[in-house]
Amino acid sequence: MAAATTSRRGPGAMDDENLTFETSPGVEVISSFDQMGIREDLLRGIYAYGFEKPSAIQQRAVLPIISGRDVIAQAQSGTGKTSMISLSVCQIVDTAVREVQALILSPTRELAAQTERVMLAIGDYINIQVHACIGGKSIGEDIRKLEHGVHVVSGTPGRVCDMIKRRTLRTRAIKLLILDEADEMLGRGFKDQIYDVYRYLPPELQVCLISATLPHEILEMTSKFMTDPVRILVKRDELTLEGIKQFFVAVEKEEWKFDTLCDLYDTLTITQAVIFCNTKRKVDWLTERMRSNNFTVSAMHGDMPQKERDAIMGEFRSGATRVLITTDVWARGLDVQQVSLVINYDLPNNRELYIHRIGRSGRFGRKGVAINFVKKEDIRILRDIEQYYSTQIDEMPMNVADLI
Amino acid sequence: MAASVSPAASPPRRHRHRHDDSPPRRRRRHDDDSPRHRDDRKRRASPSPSPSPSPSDRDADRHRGKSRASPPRRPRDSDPAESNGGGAPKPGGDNGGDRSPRRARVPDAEEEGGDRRRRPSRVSDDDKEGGRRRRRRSTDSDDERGDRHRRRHRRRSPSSESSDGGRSRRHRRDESSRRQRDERRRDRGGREERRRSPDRKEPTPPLPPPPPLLPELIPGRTGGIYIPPFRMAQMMREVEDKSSPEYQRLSWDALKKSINGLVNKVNATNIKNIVPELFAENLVRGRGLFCQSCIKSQMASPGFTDVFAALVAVVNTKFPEIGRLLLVRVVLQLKRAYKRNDKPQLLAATKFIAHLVNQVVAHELVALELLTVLLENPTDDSVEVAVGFVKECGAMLQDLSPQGLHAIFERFRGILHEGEIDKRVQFLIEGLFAIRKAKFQGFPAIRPELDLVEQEDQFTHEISLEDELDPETNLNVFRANPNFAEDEKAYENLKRSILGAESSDDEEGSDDASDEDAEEESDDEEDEEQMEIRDQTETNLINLRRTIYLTIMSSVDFEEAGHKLLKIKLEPGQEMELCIMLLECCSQERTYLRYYGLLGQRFCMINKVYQENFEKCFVQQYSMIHRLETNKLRNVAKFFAHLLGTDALPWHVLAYIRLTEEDTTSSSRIFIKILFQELSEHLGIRLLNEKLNDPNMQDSFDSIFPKDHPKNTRFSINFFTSIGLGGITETLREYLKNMPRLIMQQQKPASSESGSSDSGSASDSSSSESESSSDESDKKRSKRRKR
Repeated sequence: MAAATTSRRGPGAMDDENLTFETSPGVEVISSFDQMGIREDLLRGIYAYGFEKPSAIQQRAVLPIISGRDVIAQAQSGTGKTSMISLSVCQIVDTAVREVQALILSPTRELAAQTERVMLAIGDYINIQVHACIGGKSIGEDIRKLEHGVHVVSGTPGRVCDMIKRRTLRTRAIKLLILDEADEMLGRGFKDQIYDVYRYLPPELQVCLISATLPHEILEMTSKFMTDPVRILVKRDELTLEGIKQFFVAVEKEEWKFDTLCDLYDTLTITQAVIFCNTKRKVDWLTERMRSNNFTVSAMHGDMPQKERDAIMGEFRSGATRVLITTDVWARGLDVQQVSLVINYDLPNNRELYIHRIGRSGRFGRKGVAINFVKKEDIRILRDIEQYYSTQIDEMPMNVADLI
Repeated sequence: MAASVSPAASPPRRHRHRHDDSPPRRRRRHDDDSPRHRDDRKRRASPSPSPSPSPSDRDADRHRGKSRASPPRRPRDSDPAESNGGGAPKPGGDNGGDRSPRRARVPDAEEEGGDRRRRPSRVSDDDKEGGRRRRRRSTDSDDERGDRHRRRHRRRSPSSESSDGGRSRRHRRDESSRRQRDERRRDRGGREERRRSPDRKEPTPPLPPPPPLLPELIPGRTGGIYIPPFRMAQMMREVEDKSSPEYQRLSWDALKKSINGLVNKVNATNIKNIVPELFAENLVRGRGLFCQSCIKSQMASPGFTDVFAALVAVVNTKFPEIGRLLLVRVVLQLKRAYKRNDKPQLLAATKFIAHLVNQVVAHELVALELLTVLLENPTDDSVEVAVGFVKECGAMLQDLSPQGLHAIFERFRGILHEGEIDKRVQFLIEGLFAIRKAKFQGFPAIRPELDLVEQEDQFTHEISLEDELDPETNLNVFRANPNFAEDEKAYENLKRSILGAESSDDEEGSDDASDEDAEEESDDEEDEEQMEIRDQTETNLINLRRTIYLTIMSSVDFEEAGHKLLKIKLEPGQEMELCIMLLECCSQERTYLRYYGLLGQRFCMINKVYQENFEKCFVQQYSMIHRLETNKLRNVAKFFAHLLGTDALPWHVLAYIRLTEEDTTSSSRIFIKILFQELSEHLGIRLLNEKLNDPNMQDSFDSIFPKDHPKNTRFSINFFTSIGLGGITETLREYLKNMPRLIMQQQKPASSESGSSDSGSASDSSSSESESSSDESDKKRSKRRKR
C-alpha cells in the first residue's frame, strides 16, 4: 500500500478543464471525494492509495454509478478509469454479504488482474474480497476461492462463463456488471461470450460500459441491454492530445533505429520506458541487444505463458527493470504509473492500436512523451494516424530534452 | 612584428619535433593540417604563386595525392627562418619529419572515420575563431584582450547548451591520452585546418541530404530538427575542420551525453556495471553535469530515488566534492520549491535528501531541521511532505538520532490533536504511527542490493538549511579550459588508480569462478570433506547450495519449487549455481522424475539467463559424459530431452554433439541414444523429423547428420537405425544415395580420368548396397539398367 502511495504521487494534476464532455442532462461535476457521499473507510482507502482529488471522469461517473444508473463512460487511458470502477464497486458492495455482487469483465488477463489489484488496494479498509477469474491460472484455485466467497469478481469472459456454467460462480446476488474496454468486448471476438454471461445474470442488473474508444456501432448496440444509460462521452479529438507529446524521428533505415534509440537515452531524461515492436522475433532481438548494452530490460510478447507474463510485469512495475519491450499484447489498458516514454520502434500495424500504445505515457496528470521511429515508407502511415486522431506528430526537435 | 611572432611560433614547433616519432600522434597531424591551411589563407589577400617544387616536395605531394596543399606550407617554412635566423631548425629536418607521419596516415581509415564524426559543428565556430585570432594579432593592449575574453565567453554560452556531438564513447577513451599529448599543437593545427578546408570543399559536390540540414544547424543549436546519429555521422564526414576550443566543446558534449546515458540506465541490478563506466568519464570536469543529470532524473521519477542516492554515495567516496555539490543543489531546490509552494518538486527534493541521509552522504541534522521547518506552521501539504519524509528515512533517524525523531513524533501527535488539518492528512499521520510501531518494517534505510559503500569509506556532509549555499551553476555549461590537456591527463591518472582497484576485484571474482569449476568435478564424498575444511569466504556459497537443495527436495510439485526458488536472493552470477544444483538433484534420483524437467523448463521460460546457463550445463555435461555412471547418464539425458522437447532450450545446442565413430565414446553414444529416444517420445517421430529438417537450423544439425565423408554419414544412419529412429535419417539416406552421382558430376570435365572415376563410383555404390535395405538395392538396380 505504501509503495502504491509513493508511486501514485504525480508532479501535478492534469488540466481537466481542457476536456470536453458530452454528458446526459443532470450529470453533476463533483470536485472532491468527500462530497460524493462515500463512506469513511472507503475514503481512507482512497487517500491511502495516493489519490488526492478525483479526475474528470471520476467527478462525473462515480455518482451516477453508485446511484444505480446504467452508465456509458468514455475516458482516455490514464485518467482514472480503473480506479473509478474500483471506487464505485467498493461503494456499492455490501461486505457483510459474502456473495458475488459485482462482475467486471475485461478483454485481457492483465487488465482484469490490474482491476483486482486496484480494488483490493482501495478497499483495504472495508475488507473487500476480490478474485481475478482469468484464463491461464489454476481452475482449482478459482473454484476454491469462489466457494469460499468473494464480493467481486474481475475476470475475462471465457473463464467467467466457464465458472458460471460449473455453478461455482453464483449469479443470483450480482447487481452490477461492468464491461471494461467495452469496444473491444462488444466489437469482435468476445460478443458471444459476453452474451453467454449476460444470460445468467439477474434481470434487474445495472450495466456500465467503460472504454477509451466508443465507436457508434457500439453505442447503438447498447440499447439492447441497457436502460436509459447516462452517457459521459469525450470528443474524439481530445483522446491523444491530453498530456502526451508526440514526435517522430526519420530514421530512414531499419538498421539505424538501434543507434537512434541509444542516442535518445543519452539525450533525454528517461526513467522507465516502454518500447513497442511488431513481432516477437524483433522483441527478442532488441532485448538481447539492449541487455548487452547494460540496460535493465523486461520483454513480453503474446507467445508467453501467463505466469511468465505476470513475473515480467511484476519486475517492470517494481522498478527492477527500466525498459519494457513488448508487442501489442500489452497495449490495452494497463497501468504502470512511472512510464515516462513510449517508443514505437515499429509503427503499429493497425491505427487503432496507436492510442492504446501511447496511452501508456502521460497517465493521470503526468506528462508523457511518445516517439515514433519512422522509415521512409512509414511516413504515409504516420500521416494517416495523425489524420485519424486529429492530432499532430512533429519531427522531433534538437532541443527535445528541454521540452520534456 | 618579428618580436611578437617569435614567442607564439616557437613552442608549437618544439612540441612537434618532440612527438614526431610517436605513431598515435601522427594521426592527429592529418586533422591538424587543414585548419592551418585556412588560417594562412585568411592572412593573405590571395595565395602567392609558388616556384617549381623541389624534389622532396614533389614526393610529398604525390604521396598525399593533394597537390594543392603545397603552396601554404612554404610560407610556414620561411617564417621561422626570417624570425630566428641561425637558430631555426634545418629545412631538411622539417621535411623528413613531415614525410613519415604522412605515410602512416593513409591506412588509418577507422581513425579518420572516428575523427570526422566530431567535425560538422565546427564550421561557424571556426569562423568566429579566425576572427578572434585576427583581432588578437592586430593589437597588444591588455584592456582589449580582456574585452575579447568577455566577448568570447558570451558567444560560447548558447552553443554550449546544444546537444551536438557524435557518440564516440569508446573511441574517446582511447583517444584521451592522445588528446593530452597533442593539446599544445592545437593552435597550429587550427590554423592548418582552416587553410585547407576551403580547398577540400570546392572539389567535392554537395550531397543531397546535408545541405538542407546545415542551414538549420548553424544559426542556432537549440533550434532545428533532432538529428539521428547516422545522419550526424554523415554530416561530420562532410566537415573536416577542427580546432582546440572546438575539440574541447565536442568532448564536453560527448561527456554530457555519456553521463546522462549512464544515469538513464542505472538500476539496482546493474549499478555495479554502471559505476566503473561512470568513473571512466571525466567526473571532475563533468561534476556539474553529473549532479544536474541525477537531479533531473530523480525529479522525473522519485521511485528510483534510492538508486540515484546509491550512485551518488559511491561517487562521493572518491569525489566528496561532487557529493557535496549535489546535496547543496538539492537543498537549494528544496528551498525554492518550499517558497514557491511547488508540491511535486518539494516531494522529490525531500525524498532525495531522505535517501542521501540513509546513505550517510548527508548528516542527519539537515533532516531534523527540515522536519522542524515543515511542522512549525503545519498545513495539509507541509504535513503530508513531512510524513512522506519520515517514511523514507525514519529507520535511519531512529538509529542516528532517536531523541530527535521522538520529538518529531510528539509534534505529529500535537498536530493530530489540534485537528485543524484535512481528514486525508490525518489518515496519513495515523499510518505513520503504525509504521513506527512496526519499527519501520517495509521501509528499510537502504535496500541490501544498494548497500554498496562501507560506512568508514563514506564522507558525510553537514549542511544547514540556514547556510549560504552556492550551486556553482557555471559547472553546467561549457567553458574553454587553457589547461585542458593537463587536466585530462590528471584525470586519466586518477581514473587508473580508481578503476585499477576495480579490475583487481574482478580478478578475485574469476578466482572464485575457477574454484567453483573445480568443485563440480569432485564426487560427493570429496564435496563433504571440502565443505568441512572450507574457509568462511565460501560459507555463503555452501549455504546457498544447501538452501537450493532443500527447496528442491522438499517441494510437493514443480510450481511450488519454482516459486520458492525464485524467492531465494541470488547474487548476480549465481544463477548458474541453481542450474547446477537442479541438475545434480535430477541425476541423483533413482529414476528420472518429470518434476525436474518441468522445473528446468519453468526457469528457462522465466529468464533468459537461466536458459543460457542450462545451455552451458548441456555443453559441460556432454563434454564430461564419460564420468557419469549409467543411471545418472540416463537422468541427465532425459532432463535435457525434456527441455529440448518443450523448446525451453534452443535446439542449436545439438551442434555441440558430433556423431561420428571417432568423436563419440560408449557413454556419449548412450547419452545421444536416450536423448533422441526421449525426444521422439515427447514429440512423436513426425514432429521430431520436422524439427530436424528445419532449413534455418541445418547448420546446427550438420554435426549430428554429417555429410563431410561417406563413412561418417553411414555411421550416423546406422546409429539412428539401430536405436529405432531410422525415420529421422531419411534426408541423410537420400544424400548418401546421391553421393556417387555428385562425385561423377564433379569429375565429368576431366576426360582422361573418366575410366578410373567410373570404377571408383561403382565400388562405392556396391559397398553401400551391402549395408542398405533391399528396397534401396532394387532402386539401384533399376538405375543401372537406365545407364
